[in-house]
Amino acid sequence: MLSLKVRIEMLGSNKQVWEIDVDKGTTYEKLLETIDINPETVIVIRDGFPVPIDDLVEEGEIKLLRVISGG
Amino acid sequence: MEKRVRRELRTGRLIQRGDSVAIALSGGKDSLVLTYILGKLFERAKNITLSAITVDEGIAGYRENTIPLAKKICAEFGLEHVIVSFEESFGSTLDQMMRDANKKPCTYCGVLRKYLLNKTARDLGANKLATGHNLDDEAQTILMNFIHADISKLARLIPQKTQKDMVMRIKPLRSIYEKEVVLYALVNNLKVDMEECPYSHEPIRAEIRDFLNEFEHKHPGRKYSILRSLDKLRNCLSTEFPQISLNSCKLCGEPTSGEICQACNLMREMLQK
Repeated sequence: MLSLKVRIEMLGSNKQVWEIDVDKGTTYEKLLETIDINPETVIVIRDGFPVPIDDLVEEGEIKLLRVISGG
Repeated sequence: MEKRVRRELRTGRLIQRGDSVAIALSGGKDSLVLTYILGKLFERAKNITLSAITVDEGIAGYRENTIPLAKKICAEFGLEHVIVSFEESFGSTLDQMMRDANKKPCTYCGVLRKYLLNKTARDLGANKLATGHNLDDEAQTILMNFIHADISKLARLIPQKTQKDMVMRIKPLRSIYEKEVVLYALVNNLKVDMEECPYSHEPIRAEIRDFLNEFEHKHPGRKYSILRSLDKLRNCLSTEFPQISLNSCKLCGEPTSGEICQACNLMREMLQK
């Protein structure tokens, strides 16, 4: 299986970075599950635009915007 | 999402012709999105007046980031914008109050903020006060009230009849997911500040939030069902827990269920120290 390199960066005050390899054909939803993040709590951003979590992962970088209650 | 907000406004008859709506605008993501949507929907409506109220609680490192965002969006839509502060109204900022407080910050902040919002909205001639509560907020609150067996409090979540001096509160975003609110801000290029209030500490709510997110992920649509359950309980709740009629506070004249309002009680307590 062809594998893709993905760099994931969590935006915000507690900045976290992951660099992982995933199989081609993986969705963002599955990708988030492998790093133990509930897709309900973040928005996936690729090239500055939000992407649906059932989109297939592409090689490169994504950013995660945490959806927190600021009031 | 705009369509769903419009539907919520229509079915709940939240905003009608002739209304003057004051928006509770902290400058956080929810109230910014609320202002943007209401501004967009009613920009050209001649018989609906919009205005905004920002309460500056005096929380260093937090409010100074959101107030400019509040000012900016009001300028964009040409809304009348009133900023009121704890310092001017009560003599000290929330930060100062917390130095010798014996209650949690959210107690002071919640009571005093609601007091100022209601009073300022009334002074502006508004008959509705719109807040940015989203579906996640509502679902969490409903479950929390169940968990604490606080059903009379649950009853207060359903839209209330208007009473003297009390501006009717409406929540146009109550059926919009928090995630959608953030997404909407992102797509519409709204600059938002995602910082959390430094005082925010509600362990039970945080647990319920995590649980709801887990559950929603496994079983999509459940946050919405929780809200709809409350809507279905509306008639039962209003029969079982009829709205109490309000008095005027003996000290400040603001509406209260007792003799002296909670804000005056807090202020007296602080002065005694």
